[in-house]
Amino acid sequence: MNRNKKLRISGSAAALSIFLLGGTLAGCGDSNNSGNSGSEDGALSLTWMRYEHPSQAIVSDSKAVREIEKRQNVKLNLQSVPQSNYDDKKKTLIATNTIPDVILVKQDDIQNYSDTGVFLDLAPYIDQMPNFKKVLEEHPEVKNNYIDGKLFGFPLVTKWDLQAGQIPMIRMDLLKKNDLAVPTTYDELYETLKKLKEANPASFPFASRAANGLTGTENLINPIAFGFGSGYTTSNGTKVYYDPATKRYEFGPYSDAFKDAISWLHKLYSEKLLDQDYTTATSQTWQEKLNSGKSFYFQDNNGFGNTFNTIMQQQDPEAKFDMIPVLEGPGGVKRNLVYSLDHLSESYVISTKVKNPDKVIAFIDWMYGEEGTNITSLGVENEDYVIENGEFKLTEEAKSKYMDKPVPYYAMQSDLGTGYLGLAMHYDDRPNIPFQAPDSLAWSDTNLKNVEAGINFRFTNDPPFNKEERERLKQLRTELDSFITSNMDKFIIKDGALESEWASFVEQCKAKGADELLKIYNDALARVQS
Amino acid sequence: MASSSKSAVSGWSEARRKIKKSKALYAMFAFPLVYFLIFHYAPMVGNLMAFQDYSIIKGFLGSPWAGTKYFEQFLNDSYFWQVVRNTVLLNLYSLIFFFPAPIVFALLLNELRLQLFKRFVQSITYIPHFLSTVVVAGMLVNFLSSDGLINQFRGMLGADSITFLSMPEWFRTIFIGSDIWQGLGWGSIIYLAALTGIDPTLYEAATIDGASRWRKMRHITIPGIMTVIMVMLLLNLGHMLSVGFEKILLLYSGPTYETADVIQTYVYRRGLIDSDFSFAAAVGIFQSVLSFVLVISANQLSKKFNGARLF
Amino acid sequence: MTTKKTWFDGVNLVLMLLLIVITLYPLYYMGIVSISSGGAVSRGEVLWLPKGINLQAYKYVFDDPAVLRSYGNTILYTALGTLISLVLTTLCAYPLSRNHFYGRAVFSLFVIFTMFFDGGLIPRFMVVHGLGMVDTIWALVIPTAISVFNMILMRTFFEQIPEALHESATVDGAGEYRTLLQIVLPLSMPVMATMFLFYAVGQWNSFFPALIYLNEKELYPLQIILRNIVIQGDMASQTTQMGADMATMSATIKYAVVYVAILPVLCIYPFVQKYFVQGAMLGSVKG
Repeated sequence: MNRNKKLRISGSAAALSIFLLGGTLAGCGDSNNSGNSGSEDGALSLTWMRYEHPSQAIVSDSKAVREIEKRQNVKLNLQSVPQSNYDDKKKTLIATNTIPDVILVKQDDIQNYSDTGVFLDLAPYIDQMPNFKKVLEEHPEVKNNYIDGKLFGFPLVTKWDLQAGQIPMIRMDLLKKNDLAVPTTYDELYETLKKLKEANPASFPFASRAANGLTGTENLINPIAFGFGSGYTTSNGTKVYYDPATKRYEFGPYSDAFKDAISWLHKLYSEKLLDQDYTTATSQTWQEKLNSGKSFYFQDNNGFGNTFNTIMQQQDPEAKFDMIPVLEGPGGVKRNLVYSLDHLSESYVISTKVKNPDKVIAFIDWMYGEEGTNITSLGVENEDYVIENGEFKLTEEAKSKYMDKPVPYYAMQSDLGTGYLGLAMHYDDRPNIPFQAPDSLAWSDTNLKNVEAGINFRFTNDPPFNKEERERLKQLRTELDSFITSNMDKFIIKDGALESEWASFVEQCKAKGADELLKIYNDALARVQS
Repeated sequence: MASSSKSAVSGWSEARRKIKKSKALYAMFAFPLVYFLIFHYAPMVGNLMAFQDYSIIKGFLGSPWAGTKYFEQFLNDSYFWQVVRNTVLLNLYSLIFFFPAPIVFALLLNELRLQLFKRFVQSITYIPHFLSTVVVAGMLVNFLSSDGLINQFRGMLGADSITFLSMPEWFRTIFIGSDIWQGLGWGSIIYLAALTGIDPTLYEAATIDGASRWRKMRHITIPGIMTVIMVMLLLNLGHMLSVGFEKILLLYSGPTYETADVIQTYVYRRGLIDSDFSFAAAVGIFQSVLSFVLVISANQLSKKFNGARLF
Repeated sequence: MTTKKTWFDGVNLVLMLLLIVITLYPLYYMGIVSISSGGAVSRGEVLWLPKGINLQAYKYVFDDPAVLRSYGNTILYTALGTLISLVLTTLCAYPLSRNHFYGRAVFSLFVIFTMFFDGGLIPRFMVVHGLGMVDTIWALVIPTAISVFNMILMRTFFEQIPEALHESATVDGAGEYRTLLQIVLPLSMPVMATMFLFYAVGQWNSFFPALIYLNEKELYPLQIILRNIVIQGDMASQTTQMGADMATMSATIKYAVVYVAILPVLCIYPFVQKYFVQGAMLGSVKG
């Protein structure tokens, strides 16, 4: 039958096409993702994955990559993923055991997946690594990255960097203009902000934002509570904090100092001295407020001070943010939070599927050594920089090439492949100095001095937890986090809430497991310190 | 044809006849069938994760069995009912306000006389659909801040400014309002396509009969696109238990958790602490089962109503 | 065609104008920000008119070679993906729309079931990886080829074609393929145009499959590159000097990026509009 024949033909055509399609698909595939560390004639070829920050594009044949091939005979196959969604990609690769040879992950990832056997345990190799051993001595906090005596990641450590922190920054010009003294305590700060508001009724003098993975509320309370003698969260948002005074983890709401801090914030909010939208403030809206003269004070990354000054001075040459000395809290407490210089929460891990681990280890050790550090942080000596009398100086060639780009420093680092956002594992940020305004350098110096003086304290990372502790932490955090957050905002925003409901709030925190949370953290801390 | 015979033998040959008649259709359907098997049904094995303590190295075949542990975790969670309530309410409001909006808009567009103006409006209103959630949320934060555009208008009218984004009672309005802003134009496209399928002679006949614009709409236009409306409704019901999660994530904050926190944002926050595959899988199955049941019931009702159905 | 203009038309007109303003203002706002000076924007000076007009933001976006390359990539992916999707969806919708398709209800349920139950990201990745599609264009266009949502809409439209037309085709000796190609498709131009639009836009905007399945930066589509730039301004700023340095231009760049991303799609619609022709089926039965 004519029709039957047609059907049979179309049927077999269909079947054939499916086979062809499948075949092509399979053939087209080229999962060159893992196990690329082939070594022909001694050359090592590695797939290397990290995230890409939009300010510094990752170039596959940057100078650093070329130099590494020249000097170490290592061919890096760079795989960069946009930072905005790096977590999703990372998790997928780890969960399906298809990670590249070397990949940048967070400490959280290491903790979660350390027992899966996807990451190579590095501890046995450390004796082969003289440079890395030296780094370990210089940065003892790396201890926190060990899990049950095993080390899975090579952390990003800093050789030199500017010190920034959540420091009080205020519009000096406005203080002068309104004949106000520089505040030295939080109470004086309140008075000062009040007077500034009177002079500018439409303003909201104190502005804050969500940043560094913390919500607006957390980022606001952290420095204030710390300055009052208490504290709020760890760097990943868990509602306990490390108190350098007692050298253990504490729970903020248990202390009166914390209550005072919240009360102070409430006072500011209700008198409209604090940004009324602080809970949803983004980095962008925050910057707009400070740039446009709607706000005059912030206690956040002081590095922004210079940016704001540049922008404001295009309109008003007098406008100037400057750092004020660390404010004194009630009871004479004087302390402030600054950022850690190292990036110990970020490490490069090696896949267990890698073919010649010894060679990879040797290469990474070179990255931590002097030559490796310089190539991945500074560039090539005499081409990009010179060292005169121990001082770092950019060559004229380098300067002129990048000076007229919108963001010169990052353009340079992108080309060279250097820096924390580039290939560096042991990071030296001296190339940043020529691009910094003298103010920023001065602030960094002040911050460093204060660290030494025991006034500034750096954020610390969590101690390592074992599996049961992590399970328990998950559950505790689920119970506590949302509860605490919504209450904090209630106390700050709603009149009268603090007086009437504080006691019951603390009771409920206890009931939901705040004590247990503390115990887990402090036990883990004790294990590290022993 | 002995099609009325009830014996099994002729029933079977009846079936064979029908199969033969559909041969070409089977050949056609083979491609999509293979596609669904490979890319949708094969991964469904992954739902096993919800019942296991999934381990990456051991994979599906080797991970220890956890029974219903994760389901229990989820159901006994103290925040469970709040987030489910919020999810359902948000969807309900969405159904009531967001769903009809593109339909009404399509009908109104249809009434416009000037073709050029009609095209102009169409082209403008579908643009917001292309903006990514991140951009829309960013703009919302900007416009709704206490010194943003909306509050400036309020100031001009003499009213106080409201901190919209910290007030739980405003959240649903803001969320659905922005959904409508973004989806109105784009959503109307399918209805406009449906409108072209209505026989124009029906309208002419109605005009001759002296029918008013409203009667035409009630008796010709709406019934004409009713099937499409019902199908769209059924399809949307399938999404009842999930909701524009990215937008909520960008717009909510502590004060608004009580109305804004939905199942997905809650699971996401939990996931931030840990990558709990099994838990996430359990929640996923929970949502899927409920949505599925919902749609099947609605499907049956819809069949009786006007025959429109999904299956 | 001479219907009297009533008060309703007036109201309708006003409503439409209002709608245009509400829709346009945010878009207008983004436009003026993208051509204003970063400093002015940061100071909040740009509300109704641009200030310090310059095209630096656009220059910055296009200076990045990755942007242009990914633009080309996206065009390719969109064209290929839309074609594959349309073909597969039609091959799925047409049989399911035919009454005499034996097992129709079962197959329908089979397909619709997948709308609710999903294995999740990781199992799907493993399937794609197992087929060797990772890091190839196929991973972007095949796993998501059929949207059940779209398929059902297509099927609904197909079902509205009168059976009489099918019968007359069969009488003429046409098999299913010919009926599909010569009768059903020509009558279904509105829905096919809509599907084309839906799939093309979906493919143009998609970024998640690319993020997960691609490793080579050279293959990245536009959305991946752009999303990174857009989110950058709001992302948790780095805890060192660098976060502050990049701050100046972020809003202007962000909106320039938005415009760059949506421009081509805006151009498709006018072409598609002409398929929304009234009475596509008129005269078909009589003929």
